[in-house]
Amino acid sequence: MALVRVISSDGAAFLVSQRLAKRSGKLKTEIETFRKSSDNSEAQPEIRIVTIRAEILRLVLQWLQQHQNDPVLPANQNEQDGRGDAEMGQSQWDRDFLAPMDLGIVMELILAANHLEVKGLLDITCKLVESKITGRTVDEIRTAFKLKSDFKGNEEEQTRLENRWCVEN
Amino acid sequence: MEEKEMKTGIHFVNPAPAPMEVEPTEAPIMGSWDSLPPELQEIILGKVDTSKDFFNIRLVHPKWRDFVDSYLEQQCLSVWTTWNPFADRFSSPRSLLHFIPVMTPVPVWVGTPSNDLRLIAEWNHRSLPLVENPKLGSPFPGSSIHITAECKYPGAWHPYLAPNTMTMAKDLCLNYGHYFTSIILSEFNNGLELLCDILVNLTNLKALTVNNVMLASSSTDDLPTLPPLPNLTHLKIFSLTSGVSQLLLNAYSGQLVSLETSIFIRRCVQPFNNLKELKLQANIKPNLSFPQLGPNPFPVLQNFSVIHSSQTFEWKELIEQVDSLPRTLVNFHLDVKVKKEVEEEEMEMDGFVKNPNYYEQEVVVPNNFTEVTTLSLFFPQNRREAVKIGTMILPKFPNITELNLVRFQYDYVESLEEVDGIWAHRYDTDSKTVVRRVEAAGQFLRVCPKLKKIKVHLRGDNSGYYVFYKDDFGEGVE
Repeated sequence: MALVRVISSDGAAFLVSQRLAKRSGKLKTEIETFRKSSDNSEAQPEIRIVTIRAEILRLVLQWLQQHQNDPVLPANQNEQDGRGDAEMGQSQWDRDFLAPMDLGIVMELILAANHLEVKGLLDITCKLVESKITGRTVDEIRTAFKLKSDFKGNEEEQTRLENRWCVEN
Repeated sequence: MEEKEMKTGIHFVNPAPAPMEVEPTEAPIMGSWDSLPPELQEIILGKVDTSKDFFNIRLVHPKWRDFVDSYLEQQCLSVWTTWNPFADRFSSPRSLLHFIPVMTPVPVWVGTPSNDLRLIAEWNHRSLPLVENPKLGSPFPGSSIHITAECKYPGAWHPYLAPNTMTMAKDLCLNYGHYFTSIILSEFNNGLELLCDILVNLTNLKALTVNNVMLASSSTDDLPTLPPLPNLTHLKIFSLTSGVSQLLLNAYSGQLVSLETSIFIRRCVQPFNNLKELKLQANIKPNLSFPQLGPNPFPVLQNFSVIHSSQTFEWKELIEQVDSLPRTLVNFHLDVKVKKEVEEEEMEMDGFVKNPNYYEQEVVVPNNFTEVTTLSLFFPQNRREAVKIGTMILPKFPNITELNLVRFQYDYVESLEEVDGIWAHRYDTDSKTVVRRVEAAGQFLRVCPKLKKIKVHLRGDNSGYYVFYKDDFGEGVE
């Protein structure tokens, strides 16, 4: 079975099957580029992902492995055709997968999924972050995202007034 | 080379050999909101769709507020910038219009019965104390507003135009006009002067809708000059006195990127050198003709939509009009009626053409619109029309990948009354059969080999349609 070495930003290498790796749009392209530039068709491709650390890369690969038999979602899903992320509902496995994660890790996963072009993972992680915003109070959101209120002077009051103006309508 | 049995496991090969030292930088902390690029932030916030949550986000952090504001501005602008050839002018997505606050004058009584009792107007928005301190900044997160001069006076038969409405609208734009990048102005009866007074303050305006502005007299001699709006690129004008329309078009035609109008453009001082999108729609005025403004009034036009539900074109006339359009078109939407032609032969029964050469006289030399990929046409009312589409129109558009066939709902009754038995049940359960017959009659897939799908729109808007893919049309239909 053809394998590929995927190396994280902190130098950890993961050996995965090419079939699995190719479910990431980015890795697929990289493998193909490697094939074209390499004389030896048996050579094992080695791909450095300089923006993703080992812990996150492992999670992405883990997710890919779990979902290796799902249909691949095209990156630009035509919403009019009605096969958006709604149809690819979150599985119980996904929920268990994401449950223990800190929001910071989830955001790193979003970046990674985006970089590696893994649409399904990007969808569920974005949805998770969105759920930390929808229906929450301002304080809850600030706590979840570890943000301080950085409004100056009467800016916050001003913003509140602007909101009142818009929401009242 | 023999590999060991390795399933698809993930093998952690070596521990980190020499990790690059991560030096502390100004860059946002990994895993923080700021570390996400704007397009991902937008994807996430785009999933938050209730207005309450959206305004909540503005209070979280100044950066979030700025982000929401720019997102809102884009959302508001998309009412103008999204090409939607089908939609009726009033059917802009509600979720978008929701973000555009509406300013309406509300009548209030002042004075006492004994002392000067009279009606004046106040804005419906009481939360405009900010007017008192305009320096604080924009009170409009979305940079968009809808101002109507029509007073909603309960119980009154006619709309009431309070004497001070004009001043209110003027003052509002004097104080805040420069914050707006898009605006809808409506119901300014007798309000051409006012229109000018308002526009002069909208220095950053990108998109403008003017609806229902009437001139007091029909005189066009002493029309005022409209102020320059250097950033204005999107214009929608409906129900205006023709003098007002002409005034707007003359002032801004050269800079517009998109234009939607219910009038037909007869003459303009400048050509539309930057116009990429043009949508003409009318439902009352007869005699709409495609704009004819000299040799090449639309040198870069890409999207063109004509919607006219009550005018009937002759086929010859229609073809001539199509031929006069610029070759730069990419999307062409033609939703008009053609004069119905009924052949006796067809009236008899299901209308297979007995003589294959029957229609040959109709074949025209193709006049290629090679760039067009999406074409929309009226749904043929009978076999003969399907053949005409296949021989007279489609050969001009050899590269289309998508064909829309549009049908307004009220035609449904008509078709039941008028057409022969085969076509009458086209809206019944087996619409697929009907579309197959249309395709078979017109040979659409043969004439346009790149055609991938045929969409049948039922109501002339984007909300209800059937899609038929190439594979749906098997060999030899029936």
